[in-house]
Amino acid sequence: MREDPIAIYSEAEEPSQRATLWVLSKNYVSAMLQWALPVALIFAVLGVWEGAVRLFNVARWLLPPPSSIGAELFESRSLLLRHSLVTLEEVLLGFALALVVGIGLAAAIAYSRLVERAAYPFVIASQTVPVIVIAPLLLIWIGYGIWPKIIVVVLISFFPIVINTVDGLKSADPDMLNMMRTLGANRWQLFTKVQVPSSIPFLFSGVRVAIALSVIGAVIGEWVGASAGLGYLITRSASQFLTDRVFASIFILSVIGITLFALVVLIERYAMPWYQWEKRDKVMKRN
Amino acid sequence: MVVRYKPTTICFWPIIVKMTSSAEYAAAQASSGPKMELDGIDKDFSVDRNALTVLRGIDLSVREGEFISLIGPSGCGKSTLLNIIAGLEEPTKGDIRTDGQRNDRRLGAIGYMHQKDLLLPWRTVLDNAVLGLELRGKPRSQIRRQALELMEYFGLKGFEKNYPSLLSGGMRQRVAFLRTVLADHEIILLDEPFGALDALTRANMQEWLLELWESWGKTVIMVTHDVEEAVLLSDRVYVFTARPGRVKLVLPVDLPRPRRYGMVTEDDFVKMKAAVIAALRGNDVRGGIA
Repeated sequence: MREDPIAIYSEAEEPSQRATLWVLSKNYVSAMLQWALPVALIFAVLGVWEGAVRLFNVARWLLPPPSSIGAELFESRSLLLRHSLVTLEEVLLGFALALVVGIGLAAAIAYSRLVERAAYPFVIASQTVPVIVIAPLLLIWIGYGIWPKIIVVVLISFFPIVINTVDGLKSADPDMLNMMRTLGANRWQLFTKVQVPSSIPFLFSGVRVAIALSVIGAVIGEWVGASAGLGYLITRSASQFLTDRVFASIFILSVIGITLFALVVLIERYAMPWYQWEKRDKVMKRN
Repeated sequence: MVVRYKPTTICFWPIIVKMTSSAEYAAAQASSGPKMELDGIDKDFSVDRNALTVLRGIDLSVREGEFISLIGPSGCGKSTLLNIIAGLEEPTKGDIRTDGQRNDRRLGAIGYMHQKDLLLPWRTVLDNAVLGLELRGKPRSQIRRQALELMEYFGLKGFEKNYPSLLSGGMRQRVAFLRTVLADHEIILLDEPFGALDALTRANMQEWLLELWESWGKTVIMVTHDVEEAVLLSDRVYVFTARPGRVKLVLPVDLPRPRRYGMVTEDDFVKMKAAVIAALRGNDVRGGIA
């Protein structure tokens, strides 16, 4: 009468099967490919780049070789660090604010038809006006401080959070909601106990996009007018033809972006253990 | 005479177990009036401005502690009828009475178990089970203790902290049952509770439900497609016509209780089953019980 749920999965992982030439198994090869291929590709690109620049004697200010970008990263490390911290601060504060605004707005939109009708057009309109056009206005109104950058970050990254979270809140299974009603749930309980948890995976997809956009937003904000930050450093270095410094800054920006993205993925796994099981369950059923 | 466990009882399982013998059960049935009555229920849906009649003139009554089944061709509105009884939908015409009183506030007062287990995937087995009590604002520690006491009976011991996606279909359905039992409503609606399970698991679950219900003493209305299941579990079987759904036949199942799954091959059982099948086929020219 009692089924052992573990049995479903252990079948595929018989010890005898695992022992036989695991190294040659499909999983191992695909895992190797997964890591080795991109790494090999990166080194190949860098190698060709380095070789071409040396072979054709390309001017440093036009295209510096990877080796001199590396050297620049090391030599100007304290300068780069100082500007990176400024940008990181803008990104994190802006993103945090976007998260609060985005989730709050999404909750209001999903909870009330009236708010949805009133607010949705503005949410969408906010994305039709390019941020690069708004940024100078912010400069005029607010000045050169950190706030215009934070506002640009918020403007650019709250959108995917709102859209995804609204979809998530509305994605709740209607049968599940009815089941809750027959157990006596009121509207608030339906919202907090079914709609909100249903929306979390959607929220995280929005957050993954938003965190990448936040970095772009901070750079745009700095481009328009700033006295510090990687975006500022890039414009200043470019005007002085310090091209290797431009590349070094770009490199750091992408490291920041990738790290923050990875952090979100990590938090996602930790916050939704049930979701990982569910995904695995679906994969199992498909195979 | 009917032994009911009060919602206030903290440790209620021993009290459920008390109500067992079939003699006691028969006495209880004779003495009590209808627990629920449906009187002339019509249900129309409007589809592209055309009225589509799904149910017409449904009269139905169920006594306290009785188990009845509704069986009929696909699309005869059985599930709509359960939705109406549960209070999720309102009838176009007709009254629903519980304990002799017209009852328009049924939503949340009648237990309803769906064919799908509808477990919340982000909640563990234990947290799913206690949902009904939690919604009523009962203290967590108390409802958890209640649920833990029943885990073994529901074959869920050791899986309390698992997420539903790790469980088999039969286990998930038992969690849904436990949730329904703990919500502690006097009338329980079951909509093809075993429809999604494989044949072997279904037979096990039917036998298990028999045992549960015979010691539980709740009023149950079950919708099913499965004639054998209807006859095995029920005191009476309502056979419905194709759309618009009407009650074609009410068949009392006077097989002795307690029943066991093994009875399905006995002569009396087979005769009873044949009677239901005849009634079902008689009304559907296209044939098939669906």
